[in-house]
Amino acid sequence: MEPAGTRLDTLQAIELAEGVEVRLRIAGPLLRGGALALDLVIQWAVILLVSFVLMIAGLMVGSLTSAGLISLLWFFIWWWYPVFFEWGKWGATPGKKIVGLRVVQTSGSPITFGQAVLRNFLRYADGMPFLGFGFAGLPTFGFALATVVATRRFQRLGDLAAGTVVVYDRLAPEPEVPAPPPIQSVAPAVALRPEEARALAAFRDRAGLWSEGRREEIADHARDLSGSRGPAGVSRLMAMAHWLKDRDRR
Amino acid sequence: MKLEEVTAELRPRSDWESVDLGLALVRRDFWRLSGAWWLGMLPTLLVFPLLWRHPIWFTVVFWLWVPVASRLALFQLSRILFGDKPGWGDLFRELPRAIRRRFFYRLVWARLSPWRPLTMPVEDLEGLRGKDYTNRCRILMRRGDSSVIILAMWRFFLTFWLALTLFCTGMLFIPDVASSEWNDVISLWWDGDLIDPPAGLAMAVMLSFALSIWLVDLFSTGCGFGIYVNHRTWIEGWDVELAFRRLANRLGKLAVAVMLVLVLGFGGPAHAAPDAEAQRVIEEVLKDPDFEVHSETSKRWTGWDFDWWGWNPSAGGVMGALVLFLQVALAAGLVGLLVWLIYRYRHLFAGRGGARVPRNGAAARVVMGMEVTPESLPEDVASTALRAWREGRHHEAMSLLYRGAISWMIRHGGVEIAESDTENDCLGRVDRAGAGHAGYFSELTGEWVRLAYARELPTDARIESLCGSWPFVERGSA
Repeated sequence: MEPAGTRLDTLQAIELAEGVEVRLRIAGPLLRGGALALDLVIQWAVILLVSFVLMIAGLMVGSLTSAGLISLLWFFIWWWYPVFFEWGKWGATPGKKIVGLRVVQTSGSPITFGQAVLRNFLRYADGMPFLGFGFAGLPTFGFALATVVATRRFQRLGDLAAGTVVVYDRLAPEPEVPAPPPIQSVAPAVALRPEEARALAAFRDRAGLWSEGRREEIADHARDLSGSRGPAGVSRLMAMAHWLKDRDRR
Repeated sequence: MKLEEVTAELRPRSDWESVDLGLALVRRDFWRLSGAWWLGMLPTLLVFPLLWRHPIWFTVVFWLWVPVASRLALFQLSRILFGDKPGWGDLFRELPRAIRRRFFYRLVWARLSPWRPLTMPVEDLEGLRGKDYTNRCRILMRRGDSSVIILAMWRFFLTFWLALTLFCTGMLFIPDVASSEWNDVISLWWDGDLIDPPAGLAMAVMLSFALSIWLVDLFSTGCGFGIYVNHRTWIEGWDVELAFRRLANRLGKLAVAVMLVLVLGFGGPAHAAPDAEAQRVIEEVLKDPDFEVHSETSKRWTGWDFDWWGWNPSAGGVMGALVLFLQVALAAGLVGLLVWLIYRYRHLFAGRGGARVPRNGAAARVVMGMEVTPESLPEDVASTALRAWREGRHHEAMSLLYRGAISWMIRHGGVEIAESDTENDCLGRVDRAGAGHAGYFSELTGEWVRLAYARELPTDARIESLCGSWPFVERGSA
């Protein structure tokens, strides 16, 4: 059996001061691609809408002014929109917010202004190779895709430079399907480690998803703890899980 | 499948996290898996001489053949996940099977199926066919298949997009002198015959498509496998099983350590003084019911100083001790045999006064994980339950009532209830046995089931009426 540290995982454990460990649920490229597409739609919609208004206004204030304003708008929407949204309270552009993502530092804390600038100005590099005209065509984000897939923490070039990661901010709650509540509560005969106590809790909370036969099969693996096999073992483990929950509540 | 040797962390994940796990799995063994994938693609090279003038058609053949390559990659990936590393020999042996297995279904009929990454593990790794296969796929997708469908859209989009990207990247490296020529050729192609472009351009397009199909298919096979593993972790509790196995492993080691201390501990001073921590662990292990010492007391007649079989144990010496031991053992054995005979044939004594004993062995003490012996219940179940209910301990109140009812049914109602019975089984047994108060019992069972499974509390009035009309008081009079 390999030690836990060498097993592959999508979570990133980060040790903070005083031995507290937080786990970042790092998000992969597919959902981020969706967020990117949403952002592009939003950016284009804003540009088209406001440009239209400015052009109408241009009839009154002069077309040169309105053309200048449109150029400014263009610049702010493409370069500063992601910076301000990710630096702000959301920690995410509207597209990311919609699909439930958030940008954080690799330590898990919110990103700084400098990091937001760095990771978003490097979008240009991530957008390579460009379709069409050398270095000014349509970005394909091939480099971003390649680096996201190739790095352990799913980071694109901008993320690597700024030391940021994109994490799942909101995950749909999983349905909890517990087995019928045990009435007894029994203290486990052996002091359990935290991961073992967690496994017992998971056994109680998810047993409703499994057939009776499967429940017994799983419970039989812990017969050294429960001291019996079959249905009796299942109910004894349930009772222990109940006891642990009661203890945690106190 | 050796669950202990799994090389990735198994835990119930959200759908997108399971896709990410698949990506991470492929990334870790990218070159090895690519080798397997391209091995699966080798047979298409046989057609290449026939189609080398029509690279676009070759691309179509290449694309059609992809499931065989994904199968080999999946073969490799699944074994790596569980700690094996199949070599080239295994892959070569697997290749004919990967081609033959449901050839028509996978390469023609279901070639465009968006569920391919998820259903392929069912057919390849579980080896299911026909109805079993359909049922299994349905169960696996009970958690929803939105991530699989979105993955399919990504596959479609990325195959083209990546091919375009690769093509453009290649174009970047064409020297200025030649690039205008290429641009002319491309614009000619767009204006003219799309199927038969100029040979050099067609080759370039074919190459970029081949590379893009390779990357997209390899990673999406991994994603599908990640979703598959995650779904199975949810519906079969792989992570819990794994944690319990590790727990058993640890407890097993503890038990061995305790044995070692007990056996060797007296031998040397090095083992003689276990520290306080070890002492605590030992005590904990010994508290386990497995370590309970079973003892049996028996009386032996020692009144007469009888010279058994002519040997006098008091003669002393080794022989005398041995004889004494044999005699004691013999006597203990006889007493034990007698006790066992009485226990074994105790049903012969049943029915001659004393308590009623159900036909099939002792009455159940625990039903559905709840203790139902009279000793475990208060004297007056109804009023205790009512008090508990008023103090807000609703679960306890209902369970008291229900346990009391079951207990009465076993002791006095003449109903045989087994430990493994469910609520409905109990109800059925009570009806069949024609025990008294069956109507009350079924009402109570209804309330109990609603509380236990649907978390629906009965009303106060209902509880008061249940407690008020509590019929199970006349102990021993049924």
